[in-house]
Amino acid sequence: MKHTQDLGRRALPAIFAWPLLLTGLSGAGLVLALIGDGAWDAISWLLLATPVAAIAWSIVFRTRR
Amino acid sequence: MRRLPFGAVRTDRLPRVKWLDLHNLLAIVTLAWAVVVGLTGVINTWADLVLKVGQADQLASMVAPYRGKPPATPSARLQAVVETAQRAAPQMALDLITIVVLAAGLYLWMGRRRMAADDRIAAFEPVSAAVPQGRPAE
Repeated sequence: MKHTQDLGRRALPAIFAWPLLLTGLSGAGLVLALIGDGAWDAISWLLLATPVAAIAWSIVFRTRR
Repeated sequence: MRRLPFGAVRTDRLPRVKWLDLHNLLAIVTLAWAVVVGLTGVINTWADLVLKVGQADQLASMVAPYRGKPPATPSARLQAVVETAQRAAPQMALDLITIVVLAAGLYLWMGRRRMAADDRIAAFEPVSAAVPQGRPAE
């Protein structure tokens, strides 16, 4: 599949961009769950699910068969 | 990793390569999560210290003029308090039930504070009991 094509050598920030984004989303989800109510709670559930979603998405879509 | 996009799992190579990619994927996502959890733990651990610093610093300077004085006794009549509150917020119904509820809450809160003080004293008592009461007569 095209998802795993050779990108050439990537710099360190590019490698850790996704993990840093997941860290930020998880932290934002925890803070939102703390200070928000109602719809904010649902949004925080989604944000806290992003790491698991990233794993599932990678296994499903970034698997080269 | 330098030549692969995030989360790439190469299943068309050796099984060892596939497991390496899965290992890396699970590890970096878990690490990101653990960093967030760790920062939460740092905040929870420091919260008590921050509170104590505030008590020793700002709160201490606020109550400094009252140091050594007897505890303040209530000097305002309840009716005057009610009238002041009704002047300040006439739309709020400050009725007898509200007062009773607030007083009950205050009573429970003071009971909790008092219990905490008793607990602190109880924590000191074994220490003071272990201190020898003077030298035995020789």
